[in-house]
Formats: sequence, C-alpha cells, structure tokens
Amino acid sequence: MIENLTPHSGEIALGPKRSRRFRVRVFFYLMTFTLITSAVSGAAYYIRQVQFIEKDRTRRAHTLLTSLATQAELGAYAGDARLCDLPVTRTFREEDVVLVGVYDARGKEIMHLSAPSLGQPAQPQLERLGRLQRDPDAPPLRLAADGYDDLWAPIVTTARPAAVAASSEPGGAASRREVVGLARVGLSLTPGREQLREVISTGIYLSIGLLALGAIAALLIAGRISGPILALARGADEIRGGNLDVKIPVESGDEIGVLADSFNRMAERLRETVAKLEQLNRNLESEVSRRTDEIRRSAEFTEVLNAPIDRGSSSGSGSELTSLLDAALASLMVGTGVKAAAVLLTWEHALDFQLQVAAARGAEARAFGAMPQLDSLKSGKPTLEEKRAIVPLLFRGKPEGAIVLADDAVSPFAVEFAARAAGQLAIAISNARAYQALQHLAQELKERNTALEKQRDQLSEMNRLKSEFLANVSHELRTPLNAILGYTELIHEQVYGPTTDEQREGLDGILESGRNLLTLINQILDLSKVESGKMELHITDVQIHDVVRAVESESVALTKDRPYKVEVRCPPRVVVRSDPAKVQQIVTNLVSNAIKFTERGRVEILVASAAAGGCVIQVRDTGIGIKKEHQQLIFEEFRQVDGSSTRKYQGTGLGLAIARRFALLIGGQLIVESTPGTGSTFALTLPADAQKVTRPPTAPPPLPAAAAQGHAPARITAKLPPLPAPPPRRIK
Amino acid sequence: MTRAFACGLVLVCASAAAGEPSNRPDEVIVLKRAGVTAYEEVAEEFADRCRVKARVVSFGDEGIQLKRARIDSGDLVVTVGQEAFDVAARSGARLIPTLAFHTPSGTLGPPAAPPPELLLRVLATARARIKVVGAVYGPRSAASVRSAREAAERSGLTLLATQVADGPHAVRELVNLSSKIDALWLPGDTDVITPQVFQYALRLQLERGIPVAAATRQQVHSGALMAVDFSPRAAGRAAADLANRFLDGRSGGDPQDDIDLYGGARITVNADVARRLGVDGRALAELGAKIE
Repeated sequence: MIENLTPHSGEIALGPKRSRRFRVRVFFYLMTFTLITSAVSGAAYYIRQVQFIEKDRTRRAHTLLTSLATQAELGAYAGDARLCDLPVTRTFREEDVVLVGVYDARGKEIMHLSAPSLGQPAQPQLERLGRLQRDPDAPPLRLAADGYDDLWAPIVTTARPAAVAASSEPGGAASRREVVGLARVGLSLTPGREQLREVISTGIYLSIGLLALGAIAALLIAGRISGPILALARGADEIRGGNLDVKIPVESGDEIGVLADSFNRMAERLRETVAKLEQLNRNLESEVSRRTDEIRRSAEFTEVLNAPIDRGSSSGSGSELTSLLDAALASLMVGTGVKAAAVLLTWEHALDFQLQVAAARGAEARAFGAMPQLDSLKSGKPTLEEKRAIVPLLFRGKPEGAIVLADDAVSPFAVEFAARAAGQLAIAISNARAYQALQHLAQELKERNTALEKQRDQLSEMNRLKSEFLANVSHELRTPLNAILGYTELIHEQVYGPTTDEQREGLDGILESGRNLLTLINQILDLSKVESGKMELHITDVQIHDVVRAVESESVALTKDRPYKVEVRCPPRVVVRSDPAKVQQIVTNLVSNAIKFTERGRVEILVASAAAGGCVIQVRDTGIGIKKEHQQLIFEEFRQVDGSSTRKYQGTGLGLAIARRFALLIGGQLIVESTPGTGSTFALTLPADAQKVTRPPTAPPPLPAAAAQGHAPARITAKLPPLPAPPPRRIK
Repeated sequence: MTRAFACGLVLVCASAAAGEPSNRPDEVIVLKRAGVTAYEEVAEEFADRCRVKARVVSFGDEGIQLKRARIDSGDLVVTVGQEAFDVAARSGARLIPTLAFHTPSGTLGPPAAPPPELLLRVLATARARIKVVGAVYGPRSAASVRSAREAAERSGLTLLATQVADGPHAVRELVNLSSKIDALWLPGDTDVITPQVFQYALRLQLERGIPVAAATRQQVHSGALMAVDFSPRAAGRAAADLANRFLDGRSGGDPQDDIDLYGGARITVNADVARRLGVDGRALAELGAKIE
C-alpha cells in the first residue's frame, strides 16, 4: 500500500513557475473585474453627469424663462418695450444667454436682445408656439437652433372680471389666467459642451485612478489568496508523493485554513490507515497461506474421492466402495492430523437401518467406540466427544453414515475439515452405492431381455405354424366340403332320382350349412394368407363403375326379402389401378352387411373421385347403426357386436376384418361413421395406383389403448371424405 | 361738496318720480355676485333695513339667467356692483344700483364714489407739493373726470387725465404720465383700471414715490396709499331707505324725504405706504382718515 502512494517518476512536481501562473491568473481575474468595474463606474459617472448637466440646463432655462415671464408680464400686457427693457436686459446679462425676447400673445415682437454672433434671430414659428399662446399652463418649449437652445414660455397674467376688479378685494372673486405674451430665451450650448468635456476628462481620470487602485489591490489580494492555496497545493503534492508526515503551514481561520486543517487531518488519517493496512496485509497473507494449504489438502481429498468413481465406472466392481473409503480415510487423516479415523455406513438389516464400520484406519473398528444413534446424525452437525468426533454424512438430507475421528484430543480444525469433506464424501458414497445398484439392475435387465427374445422367437414360430396349419386345414376341409356340396346339389336337383319334399328340406339345410361353412373356411383361408403374407395381388386398371354394377347385381338376391333395392350413384369413368377382385370383395362385404342390418329404408353405394387421385366408395345404409364404443370392435377378427348365442344376425365375424386387411393391402383405407338407430356409412378410400403406395404390413396395426377400451382412434373415426352430389340415377 | 351732493340728489329724485311703479311688490330682490365681502355687507345691511322681505340672488362666474332667478319687469331690484347692475338692466325692472361706477343718467341710487373734491383735498393734504395729479379713465368715466378736472382747478391743482381704451392702453399711458405727475388717481373705472394697471400704479408708487389714490378700501389694503369710498353698509342702508320710500309710494325726489346718501364716505390710508412716502399722517387723521 505504501508503494502505491509513491509518486510516479514522470509526474511534474509543483514548482515556482506553476505558483506564479496561479498568482498571475488570480491577478488578471481581479484586474479584469477591476477594469469592468472602472469602465462601468466611468460610464455610470458620465451618464449621471450628462443627465445632471442636462437637468441643470433645463432647470436653469426654466428659471430664466419663468423669471423673464414674470418680470415682463406688464410689458407684455401693455405691449410696451419700455416695460420689458429691464427684465430683458437683466436676463441677457446671464453668461450663457445669447438671446432674450418678449412677444405679445399674437407673437409680435415687443423687444429682444441677441448676441452679435447670432445675427438676426429666427422669427418665432407661430404654428409651433400655438399651444403656448393658448394654454397658460403649457410647459416651456424647446426649439432646435444652431448653437443654442431656443426656449419659449408663455407670459401669463391674472385677469379678473372687469366689473369686480375695482370694488372688491383681490381674491374675493373668481379670476382667470390668460396668456398675454411669450418669453424667449436662447441658451448657448457652449458651456454645456465645456462641462461635458470636463465630465469626460474627470471620468477618465477617475477610471484610471480606480484601475490603478484596483491593480494594487489585485496584486495584494492575489498574493493573499494564492499564498495559502499554493501552500495547500504543495502539501497535497507532498501527500500525493507519499510523504504523509507533511503539515501544511496555514494558520488562518477562514475556509482555506479549514481546508488546510482538513488536509493535515487527512494526512494523519492516511498515516493511521496505511499502518492498519500493513497489519491487515500481513494477516491476510498468513490467512491466505493457511487457506491455500487447506484448499490443497481438500483438493487432494477430492482427488482421492473422484479416483475410485472413475475406476468404478470402468470396472463396475462393488469392492470399489471399500477402496474409496480407504483412500478417503487416508487423505482425511492427513488433512485433519488425527491418529485414527473410520467411516460408518448405514446398512439395511431386518427391515431397519443400522450403522456399521465400513472402513477404518489407524485403529481397529472396535476402537472407535459405540455406534451413534442414526437419528442423532439427521441434524448434520458434528458431535465432539472426549476422544472422538462424529461428523454426519448427509446426502439430500438423508444420513448415509458418519466420519469418526479418534485422537487424544480432536481439534476443532480437524472437525471443521472433516465437516467440509463430509459433503463430498457423502456424495461419493452415494454415487458409489447408486453405481453398484445400477450395475445390478443392468445385469438383471440383460438377463430378462434374453428371456424375452427367446419367448418372441417361440411365439413367431408358433404363429407361423398356426397360419400354415390353418391354410392346410382350410384347404383340406374345403376340398371334401366342395364334394359334399356338389353331391348334395345333384341329389337336390334329383339327378340320382326323385326326392321327397322332406328330403329336399333336409338337403336345403345341408346346402345352407355347407355354404356357410365354405364361406367360413374361405375367409379363414384369406385371413391366414394375409397374415402369412401369401396373399397375392393382381394390379390392373379397375373400372369402379363395373365393380359397383357387379356388386349391385349380386345384391339382388340378398334384397329379395327387403322392401328396397340397392341404389348406386357412380360417375361413368372412375378408374384406379388396383386389384379388382379385392375391391369387389370389400364392397360386396360392405353391401352384404348393410343389407343384413337394414330391414327397411335404403342401402346405397356412392362413388366419387378423390381430389388427390383415386376414389372413395361409400356404402350407406339406414339400418340399426353401431354404437361409438363398438365401431372399433367390428374390425377385429371373430368379433361381433352382439356375441351372444341368441343373436339375431348371423355371421362369422371375419368379413369386416378381412375387408379392412384387403383395403390396407391395396393401399386404401376403410373407416366407418355411424349413429345408432339412424344408420351407418362405410367408406373405402382407394389410391390412384395401389403399386405406388407403400404397403402396410399385412397384419393390421395394433389398436391403441383407447381403441382397445372402446374409444375410437382418430384414424378410424375420422370424418368421412365429402362426396360431390352425383346425378340421381340408378345403374342397371 | 354739498352742492355737488345736492345736484346728484336732484337728478336722482327727478328720475325716480318719473319711473314710479303702479303696484308695490311685497319683496325686494338683491342681486349680487357671490363671494365678495363688500357685496355681502351691502346685502346684509339692506335686508336689515328694508321693511319687506329681501330675496338675495347671488351668481358666480357662470352668470345668471333672469328668468330662472324670477326677475321681471315688475320687480324692485337692488343691484350690488357694476356686474349685477349690467345684468339686471336688461330685465326692465326698477333698479336701485349700489357700488356701481357706471350707471345711466337718471338712475336713482347711492353713488359708488364720493365727489372728486374730497379725494383731491385729501391728496393735497397728504403731500403739500402735489400740484399735478395724473389719471387714466375709460369712456364711461368721462363725465366724472370732467367734474374732477373742474374740482381740481378749484383746488389749485392740475388733473392730467388721459382717456384710454383698455387696460394695456392704460398701462402705456401711465408710463407716459409717470414723469409728469406728482400723484396718481385711479378712478373707479373697472373698464380700464385692471389689476395690471393697478399693479403698475403700485410699481410707480414704489419705484418713483408717486402716491396712488385708489377707488376702494380694498386697493389700499393691496398697497395703494389711500382711497376715498363709501362703506358698503352705508350703501346698503341708503339703498334700503330708498327702497322703503319707493315701497311707500313716494318718489325719490321729495325734498323733505331727502336721504343722506353721502353720509357713509370714508378715507382710508395705508400706514406702511404713508410712512415710506413721507406722507403727513396727522393731517390726514384730522380730515377723518382712517390710518390702517
């Protein structure tokens, strides 16, 4: 700190030149003020004197005029120059008077005297004297003249009513003042000019005198002001230069004296402060050294704690915790300086947690005394006993264990060090334990995955065998069933001889059951083909109109017991590339279902081209409808809404499942929208080209949980695409 | 002096007999300018002496309208001062003028000025070396000046009087006269004797020692040496006696009812001026002059 107060070698110290500059500056400031003051005083004096001279001239002129007007009153009244002679002559004797005249009220001259230098004075300008002639109270008038002031005033007399005048006292009756003449005085300007010159010269002398006095005063004041300030500046420079023993020798009691005193006090305080700073510096260095050593030991301890974790992450061995604790204890003993130390950890034992010595150094485990209570560790505060100290190990507020320091006398520093290390050690222990648990879980997961893979392989094989079995069985069943149906039909047709009605009724039952069985077998066969991936597609141009007409034809037999016919609305040229058999099978299934669940009302097939290519075939009925929660179940295999043995509507429960799988197979989509009691609409969306569509897996995607619980997935219950209104005609 | 008084009285009485009113009014109007002490004294004295009610009508600088003052031809009006007389003369009423220096011949009333003999005698008494008395006068005073000039001759004096047109003219003539006269008489001619004339007269008295005999006592108070005039109260008293006579149906010219119109004449002398001029005060006092 002392060094900081040392002046830089490049700085310029306050010298005589600088002090002279300040004094000169103060002098010039004061001189400027004095100069301005002198100029202002001189100007004020000049203006005041000029006003005074002017006022004096005016007053004198008025006095002369008034005197002349008074004395010449009778002369003007009588218009007699003899009566004016005395006042005119007397006035003309005045030094600065160059012209005196008396005129009657009409401006006619009665008498005048003028200086020879004026020559013939100007005649009175009656138009300018009009007011003087009319108004007895008019002030004197000044007219411009060459070299003198031409001053005029009215001569006023008091007139009383003629009848009263002689017979009454003077003031007894009303009297009036009237102008009986004009008095004229010419005042020379020369005396005034001489006075003005005197005023100017006096003002100049006065200003010069003031300036000289000001200069002397400025010199004295500059020295008086600058002396203490320069002493202050020198003292401040000394302090700035590091000399704190300086004392500024200013003894005055004014503000500068107060400032000097403050400087001296400041220097004294600086001295004290510097001494304190030096002491603090020494203490700080000692503390920094101690803290550095402490940090170094803490760093070593941290390094010890971090090392096993790294190793543990690579090896995954549970014995790393023991190694970690050993190394930590070794570092802890170095850091705290105690003879022995141990780490206690909580272990689960008989559904309870207990403390056990996990590691110990410097003494055997039992030398660390009785185990503390687990609850006593929850506060996190170290406990200092006679020959040991217990420092809790808390991780997220939960006791993981404790550090036990044992010595003849455990120092507070050792406890503090251990308390700081406890946090890191608790984290390290927790990490090590978590790592051990993670390793255990990973091993267990690996074993379970292996078992699951085996089960999956077994299930796949079983599914394949099931499909293969179903295909074989269906094929093996269909062949004899066809033979049964063929022979039964022949018998029914009486090819082998006549049959009775009862026999034919029995044959009808055989045929119906056989056909149903054949249908079931065919469907199972289709389903197994799809699931086993053996269903083949024959992609070609499909005239949807033809397909729909074929379905309509097939439906005639189905609607023979219904009061309606299937209605078709289909534009003539709707062509897609797809498998015509699959499309027809889907539509036939949909129409068959619609007829089955619509006893009255109507069933219609609506076809429309899709905007993005392809088309949409809708089968709409006014049947019983499907509840919302059942709308997903109908697409599952062997599912029917009414699954009871007394159900009204017959069926295998495979039709819609196969239809949907076929729709997916040819790149389309089949969705339903229905309102119970109102009817249902199934929509088959076909792409423009089935080959260009990424074909989904043959197995239908698993239904989401919502669908499984009866809630419709968005894809299935999506709004049906709008259809343009087709022309109302039936296709025959 | 007695003869002159008698002449004046005869003239007055003769004119009064000729203008006797047919009916006798129950009041007499006193018309005067307001604010003049002498006029007030005349009015007071008249009101005290007159046997009928005296209705005093005063006017100021704004003048007076006779109709508004209810003055008509059938009234008996006592005028105080020249101005009131000049106004009332237009009404046709019967007039008794007081303190008016210019009245038409035949008008009956107490005279405004004593006879000039008295004045000249007082002047001669005041300073024995006075031989020439100067005066200026207006046209309306020509008769009285003529009378005064005769009186001066009888007294062994010379009256150097000049008729002037107005005040300024009077001043100029006074300038001319100033070197020729031993005393100056300012008659009661308000047409020409303006304050400025009086002022110049006082200047002559002050600068050249020319005694000034003025027309009124007030002028003596203003600086003139002396004046011979009538007391306002005497004028009021005489006017009242005259009015009572008219009210009784008698004419002014009845010898046995002669009225002492001149009994109020008084001589007033300014003591300070007399002392400065070296005037003999004792002799004046013996004449009955009041030294003030």
